[in-house]
Amino acid sequence: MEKIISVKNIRKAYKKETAVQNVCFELTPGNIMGLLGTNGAGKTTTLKMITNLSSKDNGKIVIDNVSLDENPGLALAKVGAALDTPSFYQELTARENIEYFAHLYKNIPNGQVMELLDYVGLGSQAEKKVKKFSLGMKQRLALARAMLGQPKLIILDEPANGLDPQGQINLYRLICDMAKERNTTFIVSSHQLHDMEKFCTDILILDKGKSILQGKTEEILSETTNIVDSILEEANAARSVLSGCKGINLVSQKGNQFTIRLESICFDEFVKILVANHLHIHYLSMRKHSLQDLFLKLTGGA
Amino acid sequence: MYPLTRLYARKLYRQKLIYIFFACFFTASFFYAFLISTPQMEEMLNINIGIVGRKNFPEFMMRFYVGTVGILFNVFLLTLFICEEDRNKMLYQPLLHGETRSRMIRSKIYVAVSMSMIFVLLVAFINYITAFMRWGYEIFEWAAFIRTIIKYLLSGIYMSVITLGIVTLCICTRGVWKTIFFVIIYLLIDQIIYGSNIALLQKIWVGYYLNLWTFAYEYQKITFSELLIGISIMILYGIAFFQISLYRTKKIDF
Repeated sequence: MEKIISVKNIRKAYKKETAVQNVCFELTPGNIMGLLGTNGAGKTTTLKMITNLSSKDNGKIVIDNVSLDENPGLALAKVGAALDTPSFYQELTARENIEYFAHLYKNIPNGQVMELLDYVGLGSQAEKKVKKFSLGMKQRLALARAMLGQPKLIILDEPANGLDPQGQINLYRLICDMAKERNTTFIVSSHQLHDMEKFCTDILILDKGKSILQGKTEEILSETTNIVDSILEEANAARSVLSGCKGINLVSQKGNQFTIRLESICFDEFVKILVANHLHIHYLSMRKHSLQDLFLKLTGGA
Repeated sequence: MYPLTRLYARKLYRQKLIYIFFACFFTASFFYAFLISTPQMEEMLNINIGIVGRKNFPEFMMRFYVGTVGILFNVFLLTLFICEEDRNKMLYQPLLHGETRSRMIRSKIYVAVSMSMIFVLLVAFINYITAFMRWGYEIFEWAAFIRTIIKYLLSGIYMSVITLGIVTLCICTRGVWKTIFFVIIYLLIDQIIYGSNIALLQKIWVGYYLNLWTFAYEYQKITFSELLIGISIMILYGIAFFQISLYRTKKIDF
């Protein structure tokens, strides 16, 4: 199948510290990959290497069959990106800012700038100076700028920062629509795990510069174990039973509220263990492992 | 013109600082042409308007721009043009739209160098206007006119080389205050070297030739050999600055 981007073993070190090492992934048209990781995990460095803003120590990046090392101009002509905090010429209006960059493309038809602004919901604000924009509006404007030239791949670095919940939902809908309607591929770094789980087709989790989990979102979540939320009487006794059982991982405890991960036993077996140990059950509920649970487990947050 | 170069040119010429500066310069030139030529002012300022006025006035006024004032003006503009854009994450934006680093810095350099040349010619224009308003056709004495225009062109070359040097500093330091600091250091060293008697050092110092042309050959024709050596040294400096800027830009991690 056609690959829009292929990243192989990229590595970046700053003096003694390794920021990114041996990161690999491939994406096909219409994929949306969520790039997750704690602060300093190497997400932005990875995105900057893909966009050639930062050099890499080794590895290979191919975008739409063009090597980034051999022909960066041609490779990046198919990429749109919004990295860091969105930045613009503050004294220019939203329309002027987008027009400014539109001049760098040969075949941008008249009216496409306004079309893009309408698409991201800024059509009515087109003549407003960017210095008067909120962070959320700037995020949307950055997306409009990244969409210039109809790129095959769009890279967004924490695009939901500064957006209110409604704005976040609208942004994610916009990304999903673009992926479906235009077959655009996205790489989106974010801390909004709950939302990423819903709209990303692929997931890559980085920790200390290393890829610790990657694959199709559905597969990752279906393969993982289940979580049980429970309220048990006699907290100390429950704790000693739960910590001593094989196949059970006590994730957290707040008083007599326990969150347990079932690793190698099923829910029925778990209930049997509780009954066999004479633990009184006030509440018991099983849920699927969420991306957040998985993320916390893998990055040592749980 | 390449689209990015045109965009940078448009962006640079939107700077209000340019128009304020040249309005001030026109005022200063007007003041010198009309007010200092009274006997009382001549005595007070210890100048002889018979020498610095009329046909020599444009050359006399040239020194008020070329050198310290012009260099500081250029450094303020260029730090806004490069370092501030870098700080605001705008410098790399064209790279996200298919431009290469080489094209980006070349466009910046073309705009900056042509700007510095245009500014010198604008200074010449302003000085000739005020001189004409004050003394009329007297200022167009042929030999003096040609000599002055050549000196303005030479100053334009010098300012272009210095502009390339400032661009190099902006790219290497990536900071406004660091760039301004190094430019001030350059201006101090320039004065020290011109005042020193170390001939070899003077011969390879780019600023020496401007001082030679504007002070040692004040109101006189510059000899061909001095002209040739000076221009050659400036071209060498220019090429070096250009290559360093290109090299450094390719290595920047944004």
